[in-house]
Amino acid sequence: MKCRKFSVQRNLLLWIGGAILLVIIFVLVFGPSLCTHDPLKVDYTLKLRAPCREYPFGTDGMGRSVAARVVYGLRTSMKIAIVVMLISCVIGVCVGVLSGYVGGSVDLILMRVMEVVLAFPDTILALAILGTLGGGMKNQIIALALVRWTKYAKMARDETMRLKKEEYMEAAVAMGNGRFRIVLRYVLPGIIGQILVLATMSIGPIILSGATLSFLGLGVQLPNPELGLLINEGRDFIRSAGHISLFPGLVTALTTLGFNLFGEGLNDYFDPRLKEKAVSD
Amino acid sequence: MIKYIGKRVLSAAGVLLVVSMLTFFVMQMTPGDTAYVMLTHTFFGTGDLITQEDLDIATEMYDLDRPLTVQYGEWMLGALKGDLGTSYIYKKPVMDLLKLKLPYTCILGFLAFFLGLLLAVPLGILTAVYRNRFLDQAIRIGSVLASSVPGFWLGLILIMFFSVKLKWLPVSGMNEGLKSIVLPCVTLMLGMMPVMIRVTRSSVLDVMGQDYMLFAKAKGQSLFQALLHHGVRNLLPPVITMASLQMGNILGGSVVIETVFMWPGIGNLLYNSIMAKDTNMLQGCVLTIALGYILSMICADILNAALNPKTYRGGGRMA
Amino acid sequence: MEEEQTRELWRIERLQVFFKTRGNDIMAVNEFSLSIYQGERLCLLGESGCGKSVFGMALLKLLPENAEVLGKAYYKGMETVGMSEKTFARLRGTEIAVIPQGAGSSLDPTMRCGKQVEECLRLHEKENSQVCRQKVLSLLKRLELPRLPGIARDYPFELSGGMKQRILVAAGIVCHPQFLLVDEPTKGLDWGCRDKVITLLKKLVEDEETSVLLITHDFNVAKSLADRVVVMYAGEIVEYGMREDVLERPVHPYSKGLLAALPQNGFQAIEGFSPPLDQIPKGCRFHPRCPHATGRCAQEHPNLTDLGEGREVRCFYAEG
Repeated sequence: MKCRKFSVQRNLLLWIGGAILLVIIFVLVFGPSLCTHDPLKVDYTLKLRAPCREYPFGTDGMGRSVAARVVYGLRTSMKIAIVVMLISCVIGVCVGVLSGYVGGSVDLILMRVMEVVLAFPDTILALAILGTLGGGMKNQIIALALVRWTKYAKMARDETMRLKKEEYMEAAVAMGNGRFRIVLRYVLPGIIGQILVLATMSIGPIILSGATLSFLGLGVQLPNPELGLLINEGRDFIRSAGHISLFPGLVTALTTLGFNLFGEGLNDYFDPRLKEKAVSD
Repeated sequence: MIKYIGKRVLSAAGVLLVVSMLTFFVMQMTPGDTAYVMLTHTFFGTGDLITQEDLDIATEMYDLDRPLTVQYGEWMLGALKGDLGTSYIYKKPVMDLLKLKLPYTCILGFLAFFLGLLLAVPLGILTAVYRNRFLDQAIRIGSVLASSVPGFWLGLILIMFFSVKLKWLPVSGMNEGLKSIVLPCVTLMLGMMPVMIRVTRSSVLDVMGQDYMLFAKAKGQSLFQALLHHGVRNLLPPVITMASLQMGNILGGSVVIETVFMWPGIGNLLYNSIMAKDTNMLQGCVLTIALGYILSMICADILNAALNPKTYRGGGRMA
Repeated sequence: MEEEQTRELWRIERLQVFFKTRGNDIMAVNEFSLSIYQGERLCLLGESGCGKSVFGMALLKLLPENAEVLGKAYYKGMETVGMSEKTFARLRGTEIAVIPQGAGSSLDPTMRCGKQVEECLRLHEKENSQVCRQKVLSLLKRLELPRLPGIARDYPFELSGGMKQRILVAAGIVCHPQFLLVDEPTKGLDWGCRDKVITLLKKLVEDEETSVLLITHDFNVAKSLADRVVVMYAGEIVEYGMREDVLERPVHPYSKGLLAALPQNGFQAIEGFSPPLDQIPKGCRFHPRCPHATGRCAQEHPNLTDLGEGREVRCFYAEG
């Protein structure tokens, strides 16, 4: 009985996460056409309205609709998160597979490079890069990607090294396949599942760190909406109009939660070891 | 054991050296001439009035025209003596400012770190022992939620609720002693606890599945006795490693949290120096934080080595 | 007969063990009835996966949570299957002890060997550490461990497999238990070690007059240690009796097959494989592999038939 309950709960994560993501995708696609207000239009006569029917999330200090700004802000945040995920994934997997497959001194050097990158806490490294390059969305993406690639590299390296020991890899070498071909035909397909899971699971944290950088004023610049930036805009009004920070934050948390749950569900679904564990414990 | 520690410290020193080089060269590549940036702060506050003559004087004064490698060498020599240069905005030695601000970050960081561990590790053990029961599910759902909430927003919400609405705690700053540390500390703790609970849970589950735990029970020990005698030393290593990594998150989070709560620590200093393009200051902050992070990782490694008899019994005597 | 009743240590009645899994319940031990007498050494013989270790762990109530045990087991007249974990824990170590399988994994890698042996003493006999240490050292000496007393301060990874197994023996027997479950004592050991461990174990339990339930798949181990032998196949008893009877003149086709498969008897392995526990065949569980199987064997499940002299066999054609 206990085991069955366990499995239902596992799938539940995937379902809840998926449902949240569907809502998010809906907002991303149809949100702008549903919004009746311009997220950038300033009207001081309307400033600091509490949430009402006309403005479901209220208005900000310049009379702009918070709801409209959140819809556009979510788009920006998601765009950043997905681009960062793709870039860091490609860099990380290339480095990891190279390091794990070639080994030797290449591995040694790449691992030292990683060690140096990992000597900085994630946020600090991103801040240092942005402090040097200056703010802005492009630099924000670069900084985040430079921080995140190590996670993929580590996993890709470990998995490649594990696969390399498998017998079918020896067989592939014996059959006269070239190195590049082996990587393409045997290594990548072998690790792609885990990479996809990791990629899904990393979107949540990327959204959060992206929002953190914008919140500090080092990412996307005003007046463009971005979730972290919107939360920052509300900081001056926490005494009088809390809704300006509240709603963007809620949306950020919900989006992150959706990706985290979905990633977690996927992880359980694809990880056969966990299934066995579920039976035995 | 001493040999191991020595080796570990040496390799960390190597990493730190590369880290310092990286920081230095990257920082000096700041778009915009260093002399120009410096002058904006030093003399006028705006760049409009700076003449070429001023730039030349500044360049000469601070030896900015020499190759970067030479500059790095000098900076490094200075750094070893405790001189990290002068802050452009505060017009004071960076080292003095760091010394002034570091204690605040340490108080906040360590308090959050140890309180977080004190709560998270027992919770992790509980969820493992009562796995798949209500308590386990509740804590797990709670920690997934907590890990999805942006820390800075949580800080703002806490301020709104406890400071603005209930007026229990101060909004920001640190003038009210113990009261003013509560909110930043809670915010930092909530950031690290989900991961720690998760790691502890899986580590305890792993240990509980081991044969020696079964044998301990067969000797007549209860689950808690067995966990105490055989569990602790075996389940700690992954927990310690993760804790040291969370130290990094606390240090990184301190920038955001100190900014939200106006806490006068290194994180706040770092943020201000980025905003003011105060390169020397930024460099000092980043290096200090990296040093702290590396130290925490060394501590974790040494602790783990001390827990593992293989490292201090010299790799095993064969019978 | 009367006298035997009083000397009975365990009386196990129709013990069944199920494992609950996602799909369906798997029966690992079926209707196991057996008595173990004081001072005797009983050997449970069978291939790996036949449920012999599960049975042992069920006696000690150390099965994972998803296992369900039915039936009754009386230890000195006390029913243990329904006994609370807390009450039963008091018996473990002092009355009922175990020498677990897997010398490598059953020792805590982070604790000194001597302390792991001592642990049981410290828990049950409230004596000071000096006395405990002396007891442990003398026990280790009886087990002929080298490098005494330094070896007690070694960690498991510093010992060889045979030494670790002897440490386990010491840890199991240190409190002078009445009943000792020995699970695969020779698993993963080479031949020299195997003989030594068995000889030492035999000497020790003879000195201590401990009742032993030995679980093994090794004919030679059974031969050198057991008084009585129980042969198990696919979760149930197929034959039991005195050692000489079962090991030298087996009646059940499976026991015969096992005997014929020994190197000195010509390596004639039984055809086929023992069935996985979720695919138990109908009728006699051994019939698909049995050379003498008839139509009846495929239809009807045989009960144990008494052959006299404490011998029972689960086969329709046992006498013939």
